[in-house]
Amino acid sequence: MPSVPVHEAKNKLSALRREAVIGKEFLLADAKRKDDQPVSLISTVLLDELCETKTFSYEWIDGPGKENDHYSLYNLETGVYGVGPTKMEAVEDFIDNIIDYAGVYFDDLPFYLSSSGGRREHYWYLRRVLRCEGDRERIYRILDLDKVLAV
Amino acid sequence: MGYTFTWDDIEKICRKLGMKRQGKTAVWKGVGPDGVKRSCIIHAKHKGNVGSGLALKNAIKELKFASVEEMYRFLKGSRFGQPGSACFSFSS
Repeated sequence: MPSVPVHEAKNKLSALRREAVIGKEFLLADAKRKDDQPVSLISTVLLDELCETKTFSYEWIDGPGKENDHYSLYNLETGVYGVGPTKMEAVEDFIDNIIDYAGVYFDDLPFYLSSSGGRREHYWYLRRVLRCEGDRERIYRILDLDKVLAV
Repeated sequence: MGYTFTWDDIEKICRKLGMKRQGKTAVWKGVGPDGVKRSCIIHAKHKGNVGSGLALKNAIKELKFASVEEMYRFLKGSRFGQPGSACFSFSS
């Protein structure tokens, strides 16, 4: 895999981008920060395809009963949930919450990616949400939420 | 024995754990007195009780208590639920 020094990449970024678009990945090396982890220049489409393997699964963990009058929809991969008096409202609440969580997560990556936080594995799931750019219908479709209403 | 929690209770627990609401979002996060990083979603707009399934998920997965009972004791501020007491422990 080709490694390109940052100063060289700056001068030929357009050419590197053209090659990245067709699938080539470049490691950007910073001679001044040798202890930093490597950073890749890679096609967004390829990353999106990789993320498609991160599928969401759900459980209805509560329903209206003696002590509670709401449905609770729980996502196993991220721990995000939605609550509502109907299943549809719980799904809508879930979408609100996962948009909020993705925003907060990507605003404070050191907190969420730290090994002690136990939430590092949420990254690729939440990236899928972030790529929807707040489009609720797209989130509904990409997160397979139609399946939970069929249960 | 069953333990019930309101959404206000969950908010109190989060505050006691050093967590803060993130802007106007439903997300709370922070580092507890035990040094553990926690993040949780709270439904401020909902009133009434949290479902028992969700209370269990919140207690163990998000807030890192060993059980719902331990979270209840922590909320009530009993000797057995205080951080640093002999009987207080968070799951890792």
